[in-house]
Amino acid sequence: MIKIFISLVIIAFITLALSSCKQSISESETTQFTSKVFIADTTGITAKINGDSLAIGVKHALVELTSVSYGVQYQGKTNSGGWWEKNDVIADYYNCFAQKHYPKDTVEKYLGISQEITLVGSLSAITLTDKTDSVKVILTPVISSDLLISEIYYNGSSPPPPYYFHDQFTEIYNNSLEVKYLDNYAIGDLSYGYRDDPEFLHCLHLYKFPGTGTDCPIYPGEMIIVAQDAINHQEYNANSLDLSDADFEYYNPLSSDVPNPNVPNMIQIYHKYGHDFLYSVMNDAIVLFELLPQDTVWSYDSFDQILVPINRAVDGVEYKEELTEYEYKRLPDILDAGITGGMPMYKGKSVARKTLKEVNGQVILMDNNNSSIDFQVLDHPTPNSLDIN
Amino acid sequence: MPQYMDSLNYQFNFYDLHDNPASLFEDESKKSIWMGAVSNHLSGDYHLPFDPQEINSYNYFARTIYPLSENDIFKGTFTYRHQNDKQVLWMHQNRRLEENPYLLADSTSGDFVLNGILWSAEWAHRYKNRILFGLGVIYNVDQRLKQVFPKPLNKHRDMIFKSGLQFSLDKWKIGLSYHYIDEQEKVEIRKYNLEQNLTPTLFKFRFSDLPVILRGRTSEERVTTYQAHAIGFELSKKITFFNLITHMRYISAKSNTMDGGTRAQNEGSYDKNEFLGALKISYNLIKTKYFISYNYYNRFLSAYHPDFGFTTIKHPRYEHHFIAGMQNRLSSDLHIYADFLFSIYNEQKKDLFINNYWLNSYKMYGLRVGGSYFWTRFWETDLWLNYAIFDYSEKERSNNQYTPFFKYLFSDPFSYYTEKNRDLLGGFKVVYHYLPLLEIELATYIKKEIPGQYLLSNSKRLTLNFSLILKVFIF
Repeated sequence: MIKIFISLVIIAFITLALSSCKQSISESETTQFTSKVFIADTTGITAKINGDSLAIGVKHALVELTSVSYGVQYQGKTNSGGWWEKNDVIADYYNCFAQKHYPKDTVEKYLGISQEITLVGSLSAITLTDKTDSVKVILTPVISSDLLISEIYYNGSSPPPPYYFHDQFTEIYNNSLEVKYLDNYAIGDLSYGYRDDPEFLHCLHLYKFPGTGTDCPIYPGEMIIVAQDAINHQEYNANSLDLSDADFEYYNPLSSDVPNPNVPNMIQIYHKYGHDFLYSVMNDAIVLFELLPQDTVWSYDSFDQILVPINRAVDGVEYKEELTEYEYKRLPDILDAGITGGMPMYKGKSVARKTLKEVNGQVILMDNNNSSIDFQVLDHPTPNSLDIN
Repeated sequence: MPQYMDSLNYQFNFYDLHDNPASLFEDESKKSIWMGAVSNHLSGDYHLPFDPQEINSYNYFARTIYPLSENDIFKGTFTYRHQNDKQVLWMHQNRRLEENPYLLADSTSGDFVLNGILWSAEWAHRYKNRILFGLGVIYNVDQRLKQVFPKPLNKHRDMIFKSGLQFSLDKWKIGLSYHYIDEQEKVEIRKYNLEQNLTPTLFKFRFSDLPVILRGRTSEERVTTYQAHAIGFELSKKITFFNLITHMRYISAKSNTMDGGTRAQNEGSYDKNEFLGALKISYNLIKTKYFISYNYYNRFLSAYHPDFGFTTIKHPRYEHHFIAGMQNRLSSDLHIYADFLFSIYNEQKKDLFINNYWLNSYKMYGLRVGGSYFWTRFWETDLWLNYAIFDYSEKERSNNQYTPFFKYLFSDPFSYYTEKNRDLLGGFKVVYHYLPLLEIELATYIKKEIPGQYLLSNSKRLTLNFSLILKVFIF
């Protein structure tokens, strides 16, 4: 009897152990997969150029997949049918960017318009696993702004002394071939949580350039600096900048902010809080607006943030310390489908727009409305100059 | 040390061999109080990438065996632990680093200081001489703080509940045990503990490469839980000169890692199944005892992706251990011991996410010799020496590298596991006996782990252990 009992217990144990522990392992087994991306142009531009009104696939388009969690990048070009396939892709959330550039002579030949056309499209934080069949990106023509934010220095200077952030600035660049006037332009920063509002951008601060129409010209290929405080900051922090030659500075008349009499002040339209128009040293979204004559009466949301119609925005840049936090973005994709920055605060670094090309000696900056692609991090700010790469 | 020297009261019982609390009666039944201090010092370059370069630990403990009645016995322990871990690279966690792929780290190397207490209580009851049952609990709490920025605080809370049953039928003894293990490790980095103008760079390791790198997170909280159920079966029989004992244990464990405190976010989980089985036979003559033993261990670990749920890591391992030993009483004062050891190890690891694989298969040959001598009826000295060599029959690994982190997460650990060449250990113990009432034991041993000549030449790992124990037996 006892022998039977003991035998049964031993057999039960060994069966349990073998069934649970002896699982197979295969050297070739993997979760990596082949990703398929289809790039489509539904505007008809590609169809006309290709001479096939039914074909929406864009051939030889640049495709870039960037893993949100791990930073892995895959790049390639589509085939003649508009497909791009990449093997050995790791599963993650991806930002997908696609671009197709048609030069001026091609556009003129097939569309009869004397201009170049760039089509771009992007998808943010899409899930790609071995269960994803394919991804479709639809391209639309880039509506390039003539005036762009070319550099933002928000990061703050490294100590000593600690917490020095008064040297922040924004650089605006004329990316067109014509003279532009800043008189009706304004700069604002956005609050978090209103990305899905289709009508308005919810701003914490809004400061307008001075002038009545043609007082603040900015010539092709030129740039202007808007400083938080237009002074020589190196007197207070040796690692900082001399911004005493800035073109404009923010001035908050409702605080003890001291203006530099030699530098024109930006005109305060709205200032929710703070001693000055301070950019966050970690996460913020800066927007350049072109205001219309009727923009004299403003409305506000329930948290006392000024509402600026989204169609007034001409350029926007979002930066974060943490580049993976797409779920906390402030700007809609139409203005900025990406995030730039990704650096700890108080490192004395800036974010600056990359160069696309040169036309007759003038630098044209990249403007895909995607700061992940258009911007780079500079170890040292370069106010009033471009980092030609 | 040779197995017969493992414990002065070494016996073939389920308590010593399988931690079955019901068998406490058979291990120790005298009323006693022990107090002591044990220090352990590890140093040297031969270690896993995230292990400390140097460890200094100090344990102060008290232990009592207290018969409550003729049929009830109690055992209790209390330990205070203080540990300095020097030059720990990046890693915040310090539990189950070998098996848990979900680890939190920062970009600095620094020292940790740990303080903790552990207590345990066990109770066994005898029912009609044939049936014993027992219950036990072990509770550990400790805190470990990194001394440099960003000063992560690492807190542990561990509990083990033990229950067991032993009964006798004819000349057979049969034991059944169930253990529940519950561990919790919490890591906290708080903004207000930091230097306000600095932001740490945090790494979240999940695979053999490609950590998630966080450059803007000033506060982070990670909770890793580990729960295991262990069921055991033991059997022994005594036949004239022979003692036979066999035991088996099956463990099913699950670990889960969550980040973010109130905004909890799953980081990943893993399952582990373990089986161990053993058979020991001893042959006892008047002056000489012989024994042979065989142990088998099998483990399968699989980890899962936090967001997509698929298996990311498979990690099987098995081991066979054979020991043949003897003890000989050359005279009434002199005993000598010797064990011969032979082990086979096989370990594979497959990272399905990064697509990396390793295989490590090796054999270990060992010899342990020792002896004890009573100089007078008061003074006893023990001396032992161990020597082991490792023979790697198969070792291979892939090299699918995305970033330099691959070196720390995959290639260096592989080198560590496949480069051990020799282990040397020597120990010495002096015991003062005063009647059967008091023992004072002073012991030390030194262990040297030496890697092979290829990747890690000129490095080693040295362990120095000292202990002083006062044992009072009360009649």
